[in-house]
Amino acid sequence: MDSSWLARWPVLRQVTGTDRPGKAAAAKSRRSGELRARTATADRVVKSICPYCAVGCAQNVFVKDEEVVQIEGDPDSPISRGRLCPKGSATLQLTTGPSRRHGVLYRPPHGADWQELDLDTAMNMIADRIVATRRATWQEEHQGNRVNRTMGIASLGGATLDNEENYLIKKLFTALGVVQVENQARVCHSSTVVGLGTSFGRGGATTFLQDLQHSDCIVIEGSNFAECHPVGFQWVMAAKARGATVIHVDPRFTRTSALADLHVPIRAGTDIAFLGGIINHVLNEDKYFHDYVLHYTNAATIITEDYADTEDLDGLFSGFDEDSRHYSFDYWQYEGTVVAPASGQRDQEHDERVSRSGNVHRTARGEAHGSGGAAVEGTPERDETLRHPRCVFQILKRHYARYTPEMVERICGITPEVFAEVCRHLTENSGPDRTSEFVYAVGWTQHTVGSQYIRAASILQLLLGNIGRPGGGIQALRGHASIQGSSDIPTLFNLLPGYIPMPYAHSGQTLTEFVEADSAGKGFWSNMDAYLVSLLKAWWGPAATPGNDFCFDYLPKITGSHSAYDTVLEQIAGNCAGYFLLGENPAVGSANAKLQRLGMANLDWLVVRDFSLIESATWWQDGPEIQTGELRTEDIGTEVFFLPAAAHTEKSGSFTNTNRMLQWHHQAVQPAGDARSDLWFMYHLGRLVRERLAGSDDPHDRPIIDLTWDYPTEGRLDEPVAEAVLAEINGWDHTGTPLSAYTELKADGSTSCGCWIYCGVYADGVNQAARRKPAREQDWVAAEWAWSWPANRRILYNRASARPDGTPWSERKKLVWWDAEQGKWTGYDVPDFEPDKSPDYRPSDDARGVAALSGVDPFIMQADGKGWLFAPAGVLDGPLPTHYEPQDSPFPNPLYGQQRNPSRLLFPHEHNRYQPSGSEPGADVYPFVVTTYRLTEHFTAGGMSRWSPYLSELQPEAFCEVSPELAAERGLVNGDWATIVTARNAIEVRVLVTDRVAPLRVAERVVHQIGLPYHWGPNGISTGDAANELSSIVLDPNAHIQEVKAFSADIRAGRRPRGPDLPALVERYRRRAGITEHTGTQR
Amino acid sequence: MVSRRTVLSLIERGIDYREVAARLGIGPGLAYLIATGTSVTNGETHDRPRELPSAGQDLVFPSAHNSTRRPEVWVWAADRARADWQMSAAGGPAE
Repeated sequence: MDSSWLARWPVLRQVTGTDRPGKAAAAKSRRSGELRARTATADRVVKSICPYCAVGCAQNVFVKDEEVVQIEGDPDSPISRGRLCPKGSATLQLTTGPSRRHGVLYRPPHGADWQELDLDTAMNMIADRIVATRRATWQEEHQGNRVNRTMGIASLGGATLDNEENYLIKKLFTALGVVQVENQARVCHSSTVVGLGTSFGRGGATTFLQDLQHSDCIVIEGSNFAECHPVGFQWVMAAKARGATVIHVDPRFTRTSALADLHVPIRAGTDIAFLGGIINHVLNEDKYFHDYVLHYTNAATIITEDYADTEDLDGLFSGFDEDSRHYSFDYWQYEGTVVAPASGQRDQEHDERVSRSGNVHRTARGEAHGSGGAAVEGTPERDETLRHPRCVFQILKRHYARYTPEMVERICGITPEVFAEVCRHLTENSGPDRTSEFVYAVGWTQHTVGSQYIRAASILQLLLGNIGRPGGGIQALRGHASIQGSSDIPTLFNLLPGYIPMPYAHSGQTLTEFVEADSAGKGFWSNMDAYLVSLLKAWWGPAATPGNDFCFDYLPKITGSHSAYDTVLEQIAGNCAGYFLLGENPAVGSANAKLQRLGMANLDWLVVRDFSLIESATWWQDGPEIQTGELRTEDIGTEVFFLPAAAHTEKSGSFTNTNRMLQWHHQAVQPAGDARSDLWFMYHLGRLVRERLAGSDDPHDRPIIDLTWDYPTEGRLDEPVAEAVLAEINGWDHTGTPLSAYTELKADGSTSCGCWIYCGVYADGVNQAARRKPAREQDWVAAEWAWSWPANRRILYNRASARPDGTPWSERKKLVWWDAEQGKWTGYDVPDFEPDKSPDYRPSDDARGVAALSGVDPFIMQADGKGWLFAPAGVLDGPLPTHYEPQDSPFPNPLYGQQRNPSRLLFPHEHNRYQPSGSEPGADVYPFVVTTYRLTEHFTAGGMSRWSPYLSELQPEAFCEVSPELAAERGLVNGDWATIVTARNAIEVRVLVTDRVAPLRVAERVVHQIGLPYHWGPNGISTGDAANELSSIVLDPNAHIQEVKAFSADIRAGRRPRGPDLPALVERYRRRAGITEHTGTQR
Repeated sequence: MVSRRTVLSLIERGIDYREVAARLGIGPGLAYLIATGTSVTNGETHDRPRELPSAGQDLVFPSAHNSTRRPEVWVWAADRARADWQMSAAGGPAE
């Protein structure tokens, strides 16, 4: 080839060659022509799943010379269709970037710096500490009841761990007697499980992302869908392209709002008033779906005459105990029946007993409805006319009668005109021929009434007939790759796998007593004995026999709340000495970050497993309290181990996405250095502990010695075979043959199953979670892509997509229907119903179990088969959602004398002070409403994003959003600094002055809101103060989730003080507001 | 420059994209792109004027790893079950 400059001139090539339009060869230089894409030169492609949010985008991981060289979206996925968001696109840097650590670090007690340590030594030291701490803190009894546990050790995991990893964490720690086992799901979506579970029978989203395209109206509220789950948002756009109306209800105008037809600004923390207003409209205007409501909900059920509403008691329901601040479910019962929550009536009594002792809180038992409703004994009385004054329908009407458009405006700041438009869109797009869907995220969950937010949406969707139908449902957008999975296989203190409750301490408790108290007599939850015995067989194998109650007694017992927040107080009190942080960063991500650090400063030992040196690993060296002088490094006796973690490309396992879908990711390469998977860590830690206890004749050690812990390993690192753990989770029969469905489980010990709701994920010996039949080769349901629990269903309760007689409500919305000729249910999805149960089937009066459900009971996990408009049990703070103000609010509650949720959980502490609210003196010291949120480019507490140069460049610094009006009022300048102050702490952030956070007119005055992303901390590339320095620990009583989406604060121009001047500033504010230890703690 | 007509004429004769690409001296992914107007890596399905054979990512990427079976896992599970005398007794004799 002529190498002269003329020959290299593209224009000449174009006019003299064959590529006259300049589309190909003419436009390509020799150099670019020689370039090869990394995707083309790779040795192999490994199929994977994105480790960030829970949309579950599929990835292609390209490997060359045993190194990951590129990560791209997998176009075969029916969910993501090849797309990745900025975080997903940056996973190459997450996994191969220079910020990842590959060596173990050790900080000795009182040490000033890290020391290097080899992995074997570290593992053995940790095993020694577990054994010693467990011995030193072992509790055989608590208040006279056998508990067999240690409160000296706790664990807090992230929610991007694999299901298999969570399974080993729960299994090993439970066998060790550790009950304080928690994960990110507690602080993220635990209230979802309560809200959806008590309403419908299962705690997961009722639908799946692709089905959004069939919706006629989508209401996104409590979520910035477009920015926080960008790839999933394509299905909203698909619906819009088909003509759907999209509504975004949010304090801020975001990219979601920009793509919606209607943006409705709302005061943070008032959504129940808004949803209650719509419920009132639907009932008053007769816009409800009559046949659906009558047949598929408990609208006709009569409630006991002991029931009194918040309308009667000025914001309280009947049954409230002033001393314990607990309700008794006795006052909300169905007439003629006893409805007990999953925890059983006995537990409630136990709760009351221990709560009187004043040292434990009521537990989050509502989460036990994650896959199984409350027990109903007897046949509820019904009034099919819906006119009985004590039927649920009439109670609902009275309860929401004062939630008028004017009240909505007064509380939420939404004008009656805009409110009417929302109501019109929703009701016009609901009915036999049309469906609407609600979508939410943590904007709803993280409140002192978080569970009730979800309940309110559930009630509304039941009234409109939108559950179990295509384009309908409630989409819970979870924000971590497997946060659904970490609830299903729960690293949660109060649950065993599959939402089986952890047993309470009761004297003389046996397996039979537990099952009788905790299972329902009717519906699929009535088979709980088979699910539990199969779990015990999975964990203790041949040691578990009928003669010893299948080792039921090996399970440690809980005695109240042992949630992540309770654990912090236990640490401060000196009761918890050892702490595992497995991919979690509470020093940034949990409410009241200072209290988190003070807890860790009082530990004997701390194990942190992560990619980089997150704030929870380094607080002793350079944390905020070191800066202010509140702590001194040399005074801190906590021994800290930092162990580097493996990335998702370096291990195999399954994530459960936001729609209950288990998707398998394969290991692409081995982790470098000392980096290991949590599967490796837990397995080998268990192995080392078992070695130490092998010769023990102490009965307390039997649960560890008898534990089935024989997993096969592979490779030079002895990595446990993740498929073997999945196989144990799926279960097998007495021949070791994989089970296909949970209906095969037995209570006689002949089956083993680690998590009954996941039974079927390894059916036929095929890893169903790894199935990847391309979307273009399937219908829209794409049933052969991965596997969803339960039984690979995509839309739950889909029996409700047909009329009571089994025919579709309409041709346009048909999904599952009764085929009379074949005598079975059929359709596009797996029917969520017994396949051959006729619509005409009616149970006899004495029917039990599944046979007790009739052919028109679509909610098969509920004992009465109905969707619950009214929750007679299971929700601790009321059978119906009620508007209460947030814990710290500038406004009084105009609906009731009751200002706040009377059952909320308070944690009074000198570093966790609450603020005056409403018309209380001092409330004006904190006049503005803060709402926290997530950005596209960062991930939760930053451990997976603030060390990424790509993502840090996109969002380099902590900031807040304020309106021009607030900026003018407080002298805030765009790009300059502001200091935000609460009774807990003060932080500094950059100011973004924007119209996106418009002031609202509430209760006849203007309120300013402050938008505050919460990702930052002092470590990493992109740094800043943590928003959680400002928040308090105050919790929803059902789920123990914190209120961080709405609290009051002050904002002022300029940077915050340094050193001791910082706590002094906070103290001056407290004094001005007159804050004492009693402030905000009143009922 | 290879024209769409050229590619389609070969496809219509039943020749697959890989062979078409070899004959025309272009990459198989490019042959697919020219024929269909869409990339192999485009996850969205499109209604095309004429039915064209679909294609997998192996046209443009190296071979993919996605095993769904590990028989040795079930050998291990069977061993575990066999060692559990209570389970075996409760389940009755193996068929």
